[in-house]
Amino acid sequence: MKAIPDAGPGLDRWGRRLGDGSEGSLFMAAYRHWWRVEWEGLEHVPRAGGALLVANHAGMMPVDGGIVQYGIEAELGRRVFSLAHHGFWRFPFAGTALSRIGGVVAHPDNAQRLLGEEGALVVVFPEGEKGPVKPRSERYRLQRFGRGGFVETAMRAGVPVVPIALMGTEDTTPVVANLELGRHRFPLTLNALLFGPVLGSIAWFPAKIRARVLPAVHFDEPAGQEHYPRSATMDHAERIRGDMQAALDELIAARGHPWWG
Amino acid sequence: MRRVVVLGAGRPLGARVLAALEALPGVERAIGLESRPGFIPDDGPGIECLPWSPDHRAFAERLRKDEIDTVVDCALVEARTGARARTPGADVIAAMCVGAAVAHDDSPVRGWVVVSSTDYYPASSYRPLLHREEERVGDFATGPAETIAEAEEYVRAIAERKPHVEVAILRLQAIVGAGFRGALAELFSRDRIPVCPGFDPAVQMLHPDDAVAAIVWAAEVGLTGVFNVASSGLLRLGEAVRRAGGRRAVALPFAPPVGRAALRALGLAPVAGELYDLLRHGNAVDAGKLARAGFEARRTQVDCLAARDA
Repeated sequence: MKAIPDAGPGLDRWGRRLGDGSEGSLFMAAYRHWWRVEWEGLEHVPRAGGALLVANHAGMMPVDGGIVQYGIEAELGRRVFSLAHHGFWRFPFAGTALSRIGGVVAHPDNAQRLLGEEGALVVVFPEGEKGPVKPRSERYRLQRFGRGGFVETAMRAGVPVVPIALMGTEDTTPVVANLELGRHRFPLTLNALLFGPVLGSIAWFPAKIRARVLPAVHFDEPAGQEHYPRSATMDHAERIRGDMQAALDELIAARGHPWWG
Repeated sequence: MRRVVVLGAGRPLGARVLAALEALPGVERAIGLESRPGFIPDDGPGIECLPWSPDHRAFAERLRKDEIDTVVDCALVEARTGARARTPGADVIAAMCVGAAVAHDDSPVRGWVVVSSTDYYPASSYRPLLHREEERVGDFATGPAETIAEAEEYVRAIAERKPHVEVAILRLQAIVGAGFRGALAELFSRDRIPVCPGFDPAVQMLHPDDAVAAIVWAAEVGLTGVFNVASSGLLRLGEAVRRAGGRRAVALPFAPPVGRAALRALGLAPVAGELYDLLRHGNAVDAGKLARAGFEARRTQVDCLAARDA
């Protein structure tokens, strides 16, 4: 990748602040001491070249994005980007703040550029918003993985998918009730009930978080195709979902109290 | 390319392209045309007034008579090539008329370079960091992007129908340099630069030298296809505003109608709509395809800011 000389001081071309050690330091303190994040299977994350990291998504103001992104960066010293819904960039400060910490508009071309051209690690949550807003009865049940678009993204870029099962993230903001307003679902979290809607959205409980990296899934399909058969991408997506669910069940079964692990 | 016509030769870009073509050793004849006498500057004696639209017969006849082998159209998109700041948009009728003349059975034209604009890519939050040429946006385009997509579509149809004509569409990024009046040129020439607080998109400009060099090069080598053109590098808007002289910025309100009204009140009326979107989402493109075809931009984004009208 050719360096771009005049991208501006301290920012890369994605608008991300270049690591000066201070970024996410408060978050990393919580990562180590509040959630006591532990990783298994980090050897499955490629040490060079692009890979699409997929994880389960849950909790209001989900912390899982930060856990995976900063966690892998801290553990492996590789930069990781997160794909986020473009709606954040419609509003002042929200999108810019995300850009500064490694968020990128979830546009297929951006995914190709990061994975294929820059050989970067990219995190996506295939459940999308279905993860965070699911009812309490669906705890640690993975929701539908869209239409398998993430598999297609990885195939097109010629990179593997690395599934990650996250245990404990849902217990940082346990849902106690589901409010429905028209077509929208608003899960009421215990945090919001105790601390109110504002503080409650960032007052995460100190649940023990364990992350298990599953073996990377490589695809035989050639990279750079315009279309991939929907049947193949759906099959792969479904299998990856199944493997993640199995790993998640195992992690949950093996833990004691959600807070003490 | 031996005998060439430049459309829009009275406007800043066309005039510079005409001069550059005249200076080429292989070029026997370079004719500068304008559609209206008003476009011909007082110091431009070499430029003729010969409208090519809406009636293209005189123009087609001229192409035949002078055995023109290459047409360079610098007049398709107003804001990029015009002397005045105007709402950008392509002249679809003109594209059809030039196309009809070029595609005529006894037309001697073998090369057609069309100067389009990166306004082809509509501004929105759902956008890649850098637009690529193959991105399909025309179906959803509105405003300036719609007319540009329509004009390009017509040009592409001619290219398909007349394979013996080499047709290049160059999507030029916003030109910033002395004498040019696009949205970004207007913005950075201000004493107090309006910005949308909380937005810091990537901005990209095109230096007039790179613009002229790319157009002339495309005509020379007989380039075919659609290409983005931009000077090298990428700046974040905040950084560009700082580099534009460290002048004071003016914060615009977030509500889009109010923000656009504020831009109009600041004297940026003709480009207010386009500029407000640019200030929030940017319009940067990937010029890699042109680089792989063999053209390298020699100027950087910082050079563009240095060349602007202060």
